Amino acid sequence: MEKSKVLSNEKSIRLQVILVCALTALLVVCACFCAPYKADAYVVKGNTPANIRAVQQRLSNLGYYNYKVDGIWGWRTSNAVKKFQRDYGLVADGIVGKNTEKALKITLGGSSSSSSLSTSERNLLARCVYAEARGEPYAGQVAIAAVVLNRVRSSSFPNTVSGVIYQKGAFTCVSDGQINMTPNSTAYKAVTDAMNGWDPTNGCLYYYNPATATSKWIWSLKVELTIGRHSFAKA
Amino acid sequence: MKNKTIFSAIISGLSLTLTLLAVTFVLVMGELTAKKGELDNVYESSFYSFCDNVNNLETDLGKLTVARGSADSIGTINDARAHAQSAIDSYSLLPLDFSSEQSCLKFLNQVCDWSNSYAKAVAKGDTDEYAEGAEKLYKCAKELNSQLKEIVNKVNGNKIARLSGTELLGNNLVDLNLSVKSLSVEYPTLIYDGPFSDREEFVAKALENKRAISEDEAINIAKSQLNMSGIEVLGKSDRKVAVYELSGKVEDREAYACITQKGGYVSLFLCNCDEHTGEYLSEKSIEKLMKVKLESLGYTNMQAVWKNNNDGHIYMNFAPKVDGVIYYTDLVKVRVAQESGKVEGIEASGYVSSFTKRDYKAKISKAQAERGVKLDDIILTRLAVIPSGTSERFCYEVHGIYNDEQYYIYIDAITGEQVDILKVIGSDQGEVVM
Repeated sequence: MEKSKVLSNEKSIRLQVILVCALTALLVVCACFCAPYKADAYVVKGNTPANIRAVQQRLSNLGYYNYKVDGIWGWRTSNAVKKFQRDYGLVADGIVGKNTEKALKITLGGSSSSSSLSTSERNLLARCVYAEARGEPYAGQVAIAAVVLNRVRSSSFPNTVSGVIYQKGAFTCVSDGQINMTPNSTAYKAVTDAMNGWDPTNGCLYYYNPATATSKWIWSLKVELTIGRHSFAKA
Repeated sequence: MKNKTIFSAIISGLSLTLTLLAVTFVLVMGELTAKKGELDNVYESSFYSFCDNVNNLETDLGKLTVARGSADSIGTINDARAHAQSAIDSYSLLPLDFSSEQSCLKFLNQVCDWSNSYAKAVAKGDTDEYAEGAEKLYKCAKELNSQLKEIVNKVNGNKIARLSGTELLGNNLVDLNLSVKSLSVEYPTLIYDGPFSDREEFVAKALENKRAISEDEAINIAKSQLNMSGIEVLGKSDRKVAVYELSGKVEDREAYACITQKGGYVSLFLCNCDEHTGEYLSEKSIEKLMKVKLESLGYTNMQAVWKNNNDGHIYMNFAPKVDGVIYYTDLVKVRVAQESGKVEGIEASGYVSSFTKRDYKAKISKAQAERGVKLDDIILTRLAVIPSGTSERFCYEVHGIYNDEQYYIYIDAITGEQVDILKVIGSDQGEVVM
């Protein structure tokens, strides 16, 4: 009797431990699910390849960074910045702001201002291209950027890049938060090409992925061409 | 005893976790409800602002149907443009699905554009064709306003629905998506000289009378002229211009090209090439290389008209110069690696669609054109054809300096009127004209 009582107590304790672990796991999963995609703003003046390369080159010259100067921000670049910041008495947060830029003795903000789009619009467009078309052929990424610019030029859409991108229901990456991910150098290159007039779609205003699109309306549009996984259409 | 302690600890931990969860839930829901309320208010405000502006626009357009088309009308034209623009801004804030009726937005954009065009026509004293446009637009604005008033009556006291579909519809919500989709306004086709005009007939002028080429010939052009390998023909496309679409590689980097089916012109070439960090060639030497390259592709007599550096690449625009006239309407754009001078991108839709022999004759002299501009120093004056709305203008391009800043002023070579002014804005990478 005594023995069976002990056994039953042990079982009950085991069950309770499992329950607590399950609840904790649920909490962690909920927290991850609810947390929005966050953009890493590690160069305050703009996370462009040119800026990142300038930072990497300077850190390499000072002996803090011994890897390839490639214009891509990774953990090595971040660690090098933090080490530099610690040695120079700055807040070691890995973010290249005004003080870090001054201490590095470099001038940033060299992203191309060679178009009628502002730097912020260019960055927004790059984020949209990266979120919607990363992994697609390069021509496909240029095509996505071109579709956004075609909509800006069209009388049937908002007249700014931000207006087009944030139009309700226009881009899935806005609804699911992926627009806030940090674009890579390919996305920036694709945006620069589109801004300079390259348009593989020849004026298309719509695109969709036939494997995932469910809207009857989008399926009714006449497809002009397909690049990678995306079909492009006009009105 | 020991087991009892563990048991109590676990139960306490569990209770604490559940309490924390409950508190968090209540706080988050409270925050969400407050934010939802704020957003609903923005939608309400935008909707009523949209209706007000359309109402005012109807009045302005009504006035323009009886206006004389003289300088006295400028005030009303500006009012129409301002109300249309405010209506666009409010419309853009409404919770309308992306696939909702877009004709309304197009109509409002065209009113803005048409008003701009009308104001310029008043300044020139040539407004005959605008009377008919005013009648059409007024009729349309009247119908739109009337239908919006019906929606306002339906909304009265209720809230605009935030989602399409019927999930949130109840007694207190009106589905704005359905209401906007049911607008049965007949929007007019507007033809005038502006970017949003409905006039659009496309003919690839440069390809007229050119020989049709085969798929194999297109592949050879991509191999020999663009250094593409592993070429795959994705298809033949006859969008605006009939082309062969090819994909392949250039030095292990993916590349994409469109070769016109008539004439074998490279109308588009894109290559995702590496960043370049070596020593750069000079712009002059790259310009020379590109002229030779474009000549070999069939683009003859090209002159560089714009350059921009960007992360080891240089973008250059070339325009054909024929009989001393630069044709900005017939551009060929290239992207070149500054390290090697190799072509990484070509865009020639401007040339393919517009290039043809024109017979323009200037009616005013160069000296007369220069007399009409306000510049401290004139650097260069030459004849040029520039895009203007959906057509083109034959002008003198006067490039000069005023107050230490550079400007390009375009004077119509036939009428002598000032057509456009561009200001040069410099940056580290080059210059842009705006």
